[in-house]
Amino acid sequence: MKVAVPATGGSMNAQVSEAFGRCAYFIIVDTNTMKFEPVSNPGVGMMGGAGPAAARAIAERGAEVVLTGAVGPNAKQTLNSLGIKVYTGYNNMTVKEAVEKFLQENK
Amino acid sequence: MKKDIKIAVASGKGGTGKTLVATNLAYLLSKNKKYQLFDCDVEAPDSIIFFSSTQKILEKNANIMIPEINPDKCTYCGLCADYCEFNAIVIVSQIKKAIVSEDLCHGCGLCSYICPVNAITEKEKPIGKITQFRINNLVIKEGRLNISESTPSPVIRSLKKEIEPDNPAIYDAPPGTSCSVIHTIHDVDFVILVAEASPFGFYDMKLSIEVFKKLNKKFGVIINKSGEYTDKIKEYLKQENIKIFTEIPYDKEIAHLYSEGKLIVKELPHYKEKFMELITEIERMLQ
Repeated sequence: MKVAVPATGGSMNAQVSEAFGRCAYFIIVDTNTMKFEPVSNPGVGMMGGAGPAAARAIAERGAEVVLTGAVGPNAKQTLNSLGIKVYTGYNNMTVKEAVEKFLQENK
Repeated sequence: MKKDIKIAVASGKGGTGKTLVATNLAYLLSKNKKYQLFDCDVEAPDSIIFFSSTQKILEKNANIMIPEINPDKCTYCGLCADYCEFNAIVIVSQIKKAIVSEDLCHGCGLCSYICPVNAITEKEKPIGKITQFRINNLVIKEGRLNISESTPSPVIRSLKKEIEPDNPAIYDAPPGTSCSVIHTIHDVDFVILVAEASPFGFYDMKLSIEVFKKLNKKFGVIINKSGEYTDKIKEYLKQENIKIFTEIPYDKEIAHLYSEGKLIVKELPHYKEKFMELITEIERMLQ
């Protein structure tokens, strides 16, 4: 399964970003292999509609799940329509820790 | 002054006294002839508060046209999403999804225009209300954006369609210098800029002046809540060769009457004189 995590940097050790639509990077993690791909967030500098643009970027890379601190209303609606599940409350941890926590809790 | 003149009352900063000027001016101007007062501050319309015993003569929805994407025709080429300035459309070709975020759509219609396979049709979505009130010679036309909607410009556009072109009008503009202000003032003959005598008011006044110059608008400035900062503003306006109409002092009595929804030209004769002078000055400037 592919999991997308908004992050402040481009690696597994980066912090999970507090924002979804305005994060710097998404780390797309394949939970079977734990291989990851960093993706620049096209929404970061946008005037408006950052959430949907960000949702599109991760959907195009096959993400099925998002782990994030919080998510805005427009992003949430788009992610729901795309069939991507959103898990919030992943604050104050690295991307790696977030994915491990998720796998632990969703065995 | 030409018979069908359109005058906007604008400001940079909010709370400088646009509505104070617009309502009092409209009241005086409509004494002898038919006048229209447009409340284009659709996120917080309040001109109507200053007129009692008005008669509601019209109420209708302000709509925008939002896209509907037909999944049987859509090829998920993504052209509509690429062209949408507001990211209101998301296309993910890999999983054949086309999603419209209605809240982000400004109703410009570009998506349906650009779609190469005609997969996009448009449907009406109400985002505000247009209401008209009459009192004597004055018709007050108010736009009001629905709560939770975020695009005032289409409501202003709908509101301005209610114009009786042969009758003169005052437009009470929204604050700021963004799209909603441009939509309000782009086609008027004249703009009254209400500046507040404060550092914030001065700064935003300069932004407004830049906009008016770009739009080639004739305009003049009223300095409201006049006080110790007035000289700095005057100095600047003189340097820029911009017309200063009048000063309205920082007067507790005005604030008091305003808070009770009363017109100062009705209650305080010396302000009536001031506003009459303002009208004469504008007339002179437009000759």
